[in-house]
Amino acid sequence: MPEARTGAAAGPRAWVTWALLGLVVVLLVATFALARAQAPGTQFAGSDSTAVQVLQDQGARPWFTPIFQPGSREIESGLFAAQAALGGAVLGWALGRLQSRREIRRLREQSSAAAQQGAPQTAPETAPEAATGTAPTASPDATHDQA
Amino acid sequence: MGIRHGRATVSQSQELVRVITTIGTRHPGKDSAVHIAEGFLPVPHAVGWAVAAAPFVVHGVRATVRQVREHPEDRVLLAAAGAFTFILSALKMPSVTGSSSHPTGTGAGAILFRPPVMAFLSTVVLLFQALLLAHGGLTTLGANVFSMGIAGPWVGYGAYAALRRLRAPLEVQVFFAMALADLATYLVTSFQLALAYPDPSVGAAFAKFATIFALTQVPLAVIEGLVGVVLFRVLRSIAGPELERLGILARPAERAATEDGVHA
Repeated sequence: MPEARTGAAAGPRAWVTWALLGLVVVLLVATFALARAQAPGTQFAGSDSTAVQVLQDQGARPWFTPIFQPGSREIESGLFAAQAALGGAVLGWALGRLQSRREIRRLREQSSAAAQQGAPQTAPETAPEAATGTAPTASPDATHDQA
Repeated sequence: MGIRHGRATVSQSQELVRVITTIGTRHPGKDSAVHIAEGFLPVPHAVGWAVAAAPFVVHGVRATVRQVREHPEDRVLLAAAGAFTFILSALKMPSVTGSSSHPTGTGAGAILFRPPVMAFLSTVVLLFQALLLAHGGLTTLGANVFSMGIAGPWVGYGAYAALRRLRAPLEVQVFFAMALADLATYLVTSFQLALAYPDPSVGAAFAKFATIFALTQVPLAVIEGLVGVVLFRVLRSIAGPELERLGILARPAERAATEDGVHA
């Protein structure tokens, strides 16, 4: 992925990102296994419902009930999945859009650099700047930065 | 709705485990609320938290509108921040305490667009859950917005700003901002419940609720921090200029200047 290196940051390495995702999965499995080992058969009720339970045991009663109640746990899970799916769709759209912006930026930089390299006599003073790409400041810094 | 239990002498921890393991089978569909459930805050508390949260939300709406108007190109990143919170707050994950909870995802938006924007975005998420998922509630919306949309993002942003000043790497800044925003949310929820039900005292009640919420939340906060780092790594590779403009990444000239300063 050479284009990842031309961005503002010296692009993050893909394998580290994948390793982090793997670590997330490992942690999830580990917490699940640890909880099951501590209390076999645990059902992983919501911590919020545990709080509700404690309140109810103290005698607290809700004075207002939800306007809309999902009929069953299955429907409730479905609605939660729908929320995550909606979020996932929007996040996917946004990341796709940002990625295409980057592609457009890259192509524009390439074509302008190619145009200026193709005709160095016509604009000799702008050529060195174009060659360094994203960093218009002192070129030694730019090369040091990208290294 | 009240549950009567026969063994009144069991210790609190045994009682908690019993409650956790039986709640799903005895009361299906009742464990529906994330944060504070509908109707469980006394009226003065519900009104008080709503009044406390309202100015932050109004300010957040104005901050969001201003951001979009001044930088229309930021709409995509704004949508990404909102969607991230939407996804994470829908994912109930198992935790070591044997119960489950969900992350909040508010730290990412707080870093990208500052905390006021998250007060608005969190309100949208909490309203969605209160109306369609019977999750949280309208009467407890103010309290839940205060914990998830105000306290969490500000604590996360504070951690981000402090680590930034210490010149910690972006990944470290993001990890702690995300994880602490998550933990702060649930600590504030515990405090809100303790204030409403100070049995026997606010302090003791806080310890009790914090044990239920916060301990479950610690591993999830770590996971949320890692997921946040992944998100920002992806954003750094595809949205570098956007992050530079928002001040999250140093611009090339600034970076060169700092490096010169370091080498000099």
